[in-house]
Amino acid sequence: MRNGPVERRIRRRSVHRSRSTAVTVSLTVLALVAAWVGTESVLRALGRGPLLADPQTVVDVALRPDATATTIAEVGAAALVVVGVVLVVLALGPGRRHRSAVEHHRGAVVVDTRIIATTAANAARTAAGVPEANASATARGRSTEVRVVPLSGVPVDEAAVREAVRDRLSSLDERFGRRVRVRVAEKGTLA
Amino acid sequence: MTAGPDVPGHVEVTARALTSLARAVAAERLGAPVGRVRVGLGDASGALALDITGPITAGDDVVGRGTRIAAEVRDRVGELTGRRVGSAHIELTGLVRERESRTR
Repeated sequence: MRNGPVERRIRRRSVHRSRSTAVTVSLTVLALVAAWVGTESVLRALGRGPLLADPQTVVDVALRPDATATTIAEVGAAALVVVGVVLVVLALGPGRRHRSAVEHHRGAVVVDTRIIATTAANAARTAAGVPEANASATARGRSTEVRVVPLSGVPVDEAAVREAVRDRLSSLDERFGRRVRVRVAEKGTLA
Repeated sequence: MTAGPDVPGHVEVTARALTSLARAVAAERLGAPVGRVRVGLGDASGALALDITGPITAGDDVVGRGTRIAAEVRDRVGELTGRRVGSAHIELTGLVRERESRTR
């Protein structure tokens, strides 16, 4: 894998989701609140009336100990908690997309997860000798799960299927073949 | 079923072909005309399951022969298709008389 800074950056950007939307939205909200507080402060310092509402008055109203104000404050707090949790998850989570970077001697190569799954299913199909519809696979990150429905009366060699899938995936990139799970259905189909 | 790793492509046997084959084998062993024998194929935990319905040639010990024929059909179908046959159920629906089958 070529490890030039450009390739590394492209790989990272392709495999991980961009956080720019979340950042843009939260910074815009922050800027609006700051502008409001700043404007009202200047207006108050000049001895003029508030443009929208005086921040101090807003807080006083919100904290007034009557039923409606308390409910509104609680709902607002709950909404802020949810927004906060979402933002923390977006910030700290890996934000992976359904793609994987692949080893290649030039440039950055990224493979869609569905391609890995289809490749695995195809290898399993050939190894088990079942019709195309009887083999399916899902890939997630580095692990791949293959499901094979055998033909009635033709036993499927689970180990051979696993080996074939591992071989085929390793030719794509040796890391993909490391975690392969094969599940053979108990009930077969006729053809 | 694949033909083997060194031969490109693969051979698929349809369910209809399997059914016709099992039907022919069952009719032959029962001594009944193919048209009067019905075979249903199923799956018994990964193995082929045969469900045969048809008449048997008249004679003594019909039940004993039926049982033997079930085993024979099972072995023969497994031999011809190369598949593991788990079970063969025979449901006898009548008798075929020698004379009747000859005038056919």
